[in-house]
Amino acid sequence: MDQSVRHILYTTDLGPRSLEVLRHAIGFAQALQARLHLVTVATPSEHRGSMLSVFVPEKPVAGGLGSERIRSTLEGRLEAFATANPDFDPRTVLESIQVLEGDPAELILREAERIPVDLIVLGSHGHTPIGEMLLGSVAHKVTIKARVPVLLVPINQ
Amino acid sequence: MSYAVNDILLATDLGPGSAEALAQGLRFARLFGARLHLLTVLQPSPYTGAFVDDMDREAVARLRGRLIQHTRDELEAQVEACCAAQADAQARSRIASVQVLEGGATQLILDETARLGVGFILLGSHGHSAFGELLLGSIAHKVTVKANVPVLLVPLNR
Repeated sequence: MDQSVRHILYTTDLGPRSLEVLRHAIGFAQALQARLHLVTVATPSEHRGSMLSVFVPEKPVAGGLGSERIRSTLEGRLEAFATANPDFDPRTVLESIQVLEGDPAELILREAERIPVDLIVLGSHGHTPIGEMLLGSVAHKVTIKARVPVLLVPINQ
Repeated sequence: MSYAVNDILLATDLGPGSAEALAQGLRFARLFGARLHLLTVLQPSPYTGAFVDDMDREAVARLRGRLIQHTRDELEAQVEACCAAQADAQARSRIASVQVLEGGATQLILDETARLGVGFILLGSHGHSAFGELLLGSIAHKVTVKANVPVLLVPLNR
């Protein structure tokens, strides 16, 4: 077994508190001298409303405008994060940014194998309607299927 | 202030895959230059419950002590075997503590996490159940949603 961790996949849904996950992802990459691959998965419903799809062909909306908007949001956040956390500047470790569309868990697992990475970092948020804490479904699926260690960062405290 | 992990807590059940979990613990301890703390939690034995009043308390205490000692011996034997198999000559010295406790696993893991001030918790994850359904061990699940530090889940037997 190769003991080192050279590549880390960090996935974010850009939700509230996802910056705490980013801090750990960058920290791990720095401490382990690994490169960070950022993957965000847009589920189709996020930017393809049912009304919209009636009038606009699906592909251009999903693959064009939507992912570009998400990418620029991401880049803006990374820049703001670097300014606020100079010791955790994403640019010191960031290797790639990808915005994909489809089933988040499947795409994260696919990218993890393709790159390939030695570690996956993601947030463990989610809760039931009555406020009971729960592992997010994406986190759960990735965790049980991944062939590499998965770092789950709590963001539901 | 840069990111540092000085202590890692590995909760292990001594079941199948626990040697792999320990090897992963040693791997990350080496990569971070961190101390590794091992914790095995025993379910409270039936002797500690309602039956205890009907039994000789000294005998109960002896049984519990022997069970804990037996588990500790097994854990330490596994530690020695695993460290000996590592290419890392410092493997054994990275293990700062070996503990066997009795009680509720989730709460004890969270208590030790706070007491030791670990950077993250490392747990083994078996993935699929015997029926192929999606499963994350219930303790791993509970620890993950309740912990206030990250949990590193390492796949075992896949």
